[in-house]
Amino acid sequence: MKGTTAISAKMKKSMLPYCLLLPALAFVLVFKIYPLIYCFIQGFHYKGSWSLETFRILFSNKSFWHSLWVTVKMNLVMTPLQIVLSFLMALLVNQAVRGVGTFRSLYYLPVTISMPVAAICWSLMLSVNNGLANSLIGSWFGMEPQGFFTDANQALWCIVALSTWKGCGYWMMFYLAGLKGIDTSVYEAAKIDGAGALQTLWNITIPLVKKTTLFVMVADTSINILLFAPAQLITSGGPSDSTNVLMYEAYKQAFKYGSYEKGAATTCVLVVLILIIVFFQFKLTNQED
Amino acid sequence: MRKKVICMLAGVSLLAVTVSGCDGKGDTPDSGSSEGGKTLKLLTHYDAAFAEAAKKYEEETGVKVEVEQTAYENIGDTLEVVLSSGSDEYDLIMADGPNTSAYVNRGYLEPLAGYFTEEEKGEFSPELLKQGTVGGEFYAAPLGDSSTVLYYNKNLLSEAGIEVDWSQYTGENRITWEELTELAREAVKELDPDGSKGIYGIEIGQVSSVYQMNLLANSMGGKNISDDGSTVKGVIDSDEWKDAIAWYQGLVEEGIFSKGVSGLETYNNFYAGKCVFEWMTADSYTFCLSADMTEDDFGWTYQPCFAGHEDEVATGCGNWALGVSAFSKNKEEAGKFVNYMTCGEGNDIFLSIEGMSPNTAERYTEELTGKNPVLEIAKYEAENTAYVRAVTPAFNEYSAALSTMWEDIRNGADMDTALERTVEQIDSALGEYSESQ
Repeated sequence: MKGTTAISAKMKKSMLPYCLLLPALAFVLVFKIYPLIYCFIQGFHYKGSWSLETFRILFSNKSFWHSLWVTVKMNLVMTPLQIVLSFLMALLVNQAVRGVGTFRSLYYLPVTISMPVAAICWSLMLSVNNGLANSLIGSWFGMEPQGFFTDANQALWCIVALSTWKGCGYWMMFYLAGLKGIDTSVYEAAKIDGAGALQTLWNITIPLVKKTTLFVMVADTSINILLFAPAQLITSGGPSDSTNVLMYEAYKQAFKYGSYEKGAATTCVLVVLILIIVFFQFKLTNQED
Repeated sequence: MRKKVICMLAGVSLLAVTVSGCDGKGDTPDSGSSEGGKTLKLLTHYDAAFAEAAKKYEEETGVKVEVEQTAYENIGDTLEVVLSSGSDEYDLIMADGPNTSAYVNRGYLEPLAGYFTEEEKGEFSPELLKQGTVGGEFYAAPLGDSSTVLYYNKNLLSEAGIEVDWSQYTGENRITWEELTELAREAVKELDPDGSKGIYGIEIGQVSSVYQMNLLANSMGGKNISDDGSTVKGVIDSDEWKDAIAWYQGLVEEGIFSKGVSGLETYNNFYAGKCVFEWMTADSYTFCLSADMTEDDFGWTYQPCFAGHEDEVATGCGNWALGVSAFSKNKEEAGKFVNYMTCGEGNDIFLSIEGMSPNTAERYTEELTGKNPVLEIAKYEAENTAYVRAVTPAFNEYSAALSTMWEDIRNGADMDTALERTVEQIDSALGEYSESQ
């Protein structure tokens, strides 16, 4: 009897963490895992039956390949840019100077603005018709008004700028936490050994925040590949499909054209794309280890 | 023990809340019955007019109609999400005229045959009946019609010292686009020579949308889709279309038409006195009045024609229609309400509030045209120049691709490249629909 009570108490103790995790796990299962599985099931359906036909149609469509290229191009620039900038920002706000808290808040501020609000502000600021940016470059540099979001060569990079402005503060906080975790004695030892600022950065700081970098890289890549709000709200995928990222294409297929199967198939491609990129990111980081 | 019971109850409650939250049908207001009768539900951007008509309908029949408001821009996407999941949340479905075919193709709409007599159907304008009919079956009843009309700002013209005898223009003798652009050029030169005031010569109410932009090509003799509805190749890349596109793009580059301004903003520009001419719809008259303009501030005339194409004028037509959801549990009541809103007293209430062109010639009453005098022009256009948008189950794809093309043209894209891409996109969508049928 005593033995049974002991086992029961032990079981209770071991089950407790799982019970506490259960609500969160339930939400993840319902809102993340289930939709993902459902999406794959839908993607492999055509007119209600299991088939690869949806993928055949998708892959034979030029718009799909164009959107895939736009997505890859945007992410090749945006993700490294955000990582480098947020790391530099974290280095800046990690300094022990007076009022650094204000700077941290200022850098973080764009994160607190919702994407639709940010998109509206940026589209007004970069408006081709007397927008703030055009007024400034006109009066300061005497330049002709720029198309920005209405120019096929500039629109994508304007979205990259907007997303970077909005996202860097968030990743900066992770880097800041990583930097705070580095033991100051390591820096002191480097200083005694005569290491300069750049050497310290290259040989100590960057390697010691590698785990943070890996997390930021993976999370940022996933978020950026799925980003489509600015393309939807500001450019509607234009001009000349230059901002028609794959996620927006999936949204259009599902919610504008009523083709859930095509939308799901496009999303499957995105998931596979993310998995491939993340796999290589892990591989790369482990190799360096 | 007590603690355990409380924890269990809390856990079960949480689970119940979570599960009911996931169920789209769980907490919706009773779509079956309400006290004293049935309750129908509708999602619309014409909430004021529907609410008024619904009040009257409930008094007469005891059937309650819950009117849920949404923005014009969101209605299509919202309905797509709700209907594609087979939800019975809405009993009544609003469909923009040309979308009817797409909705029927996806199985969202219920035939209306049982709720309309042949006589009632025969009263609708033929173009509207055509838009609501798919495969010989009537699915969506038109709430009203529409027509494109040219508005001008009297104050700006007077400030620019431009006098025009607008009374000389009639349906048979219209101002030409060429004459109009000359007037706009002259006015802008006088009013805003350095462009600092942001005054435009001509604005288009539904800029970059197929409803209005295609009319430029149609007014030069171009069609919207091939006669069998299977392709746009050789249609939207025809000489007529190219002439219309080149004409428009040239004037955008010159600054006569705006760039980077949304349709909604063009309306606001007109109300704010930032635009000399605005090509809008007949019901825009009521919007102007709502924006505190008076007839001393603005006037209107027939949509211009292109010189040399005077007999090919194509004006806009078609409007939102009402149908019964294929997933509704109250199809019969919903069908009767559709009839009330499109043929009955409900339509009178709707039209008088919205100032929309009626769905049948008989409804152009003196009372209606007294409230909105622009409807006199709308009546003429409906009988003589109305041009139906493309009728195809791929209308969403067609509309999206062409809207993008018009916006690209506006932004200075190369015409041939833009046309080639658009033809490919639309034909690919048309091909998929024809394969699946």
